Amino acid sequence: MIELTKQMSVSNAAHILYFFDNTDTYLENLMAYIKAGIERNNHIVIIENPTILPDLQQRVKNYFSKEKQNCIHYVNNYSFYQCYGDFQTRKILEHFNHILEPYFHKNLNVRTWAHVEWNDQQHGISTKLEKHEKIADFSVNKMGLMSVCAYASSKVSASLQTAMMKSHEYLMTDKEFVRSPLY
Amino acid sequence: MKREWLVKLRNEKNLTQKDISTIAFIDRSYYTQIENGKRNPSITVAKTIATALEFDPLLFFQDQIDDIHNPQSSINSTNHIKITDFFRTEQHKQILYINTRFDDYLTHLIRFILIGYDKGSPCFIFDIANHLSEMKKKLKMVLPGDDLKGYIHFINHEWNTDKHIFDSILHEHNDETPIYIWSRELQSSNKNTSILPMMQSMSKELKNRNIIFVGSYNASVLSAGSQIQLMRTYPILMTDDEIVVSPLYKNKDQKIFPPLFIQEE
Repeated sequence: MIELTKQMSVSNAAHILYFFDNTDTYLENLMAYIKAGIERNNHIVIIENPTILPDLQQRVKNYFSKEKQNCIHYVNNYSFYQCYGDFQTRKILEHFNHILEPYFHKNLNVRTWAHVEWNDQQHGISTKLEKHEKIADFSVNKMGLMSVCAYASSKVSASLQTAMMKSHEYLMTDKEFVRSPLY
Repeated sequence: MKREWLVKLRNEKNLTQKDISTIAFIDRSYYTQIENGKRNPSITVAKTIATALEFDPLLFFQDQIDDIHNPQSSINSTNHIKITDFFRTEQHKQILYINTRFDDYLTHLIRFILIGYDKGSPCFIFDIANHLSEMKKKLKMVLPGDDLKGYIHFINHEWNTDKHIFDSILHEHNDETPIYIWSRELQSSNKNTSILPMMQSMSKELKNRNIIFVGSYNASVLSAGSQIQLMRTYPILMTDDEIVVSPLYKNKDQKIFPPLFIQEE
């Protein structure tokens, strides 16, 4: 078990599913995740929507020293999840491994936070997302990685949420953090 | 198909076919046909035989219940048995059922009805007209006779479902009788299509009654945000494959941490 925050510890490879309603609460939770990681000498990789990134980066600048800011790394989620095109699990996970490889190579501890978004017009996206998260859970466990996958709760069906609760050990909402009973 | 399991149970009790037919007040030839799988018992006969041989009477109908399933559906029969066991325990409970596969919905509903009947409990099913019609057809496949008449009440959600239904439920049955209620909750602005608010507003009258209530939702139509709200309201969460304590329902045994930013503060 490793410390997620002062109040709680989670499994070494913690795959956390976050469904958010409110963008402000989302940002507060993201900042809390970053702070907890930095306090524990982790690097943080954040895969985020480019419209949210400026607000996040400003909060980070206001809170952390330049040295600590160097431990926080940003990836544009539009290009990462190919929001304008086809959601392809294999390519996404290859890209993810490619981003993390330098940290592992230098034996640096790293945590990730990904705001998952997709092109709504895609056919069969629910099935793709479900498959993606199952494979991602396997990868996260294999890498011993702490990882948050964040979804806007209004954009996901209960069917997909239930399926994802089976591939994530922890479930977070804007008000709670719990173990997923379906994992 | 021959019911080898029934033969085995009878032999373990050192009982003959004649013994069982006497206990069940049926012809020996009828009992032989039941063992050979050529006929199905009525629910009353099933219960009598099951009591004599000490097993779950639902075993007689397992094949028919399983036949309801689409062969492509990923049914896990062990988990379905756990859900059935859960329905069977007589305790006041509210179960949130997030349903993805319609065939599983029908299967669970049939088991719910049969368990309620087995306990002598009335059963109230709230759903839309075409689901009720489908349900009645499937139930006939499992129980061709009129055994369940008078015990099951099918109520069409598309009518004006209101408090009068519950008034009659409460007055017709005494305080000791468990009541089985199953509702296909609809996502509509018309609050009369949802049973849960009615039950919550009647909490005083219902407090001392033993009610097993399943509120079922179509998972492809319900949003994740709505499911999260419902998981805070219902103590038990059920899917097509499993039944668990709802992770977001506050009770003294449940460990719920606040979100990260509150922990950090």
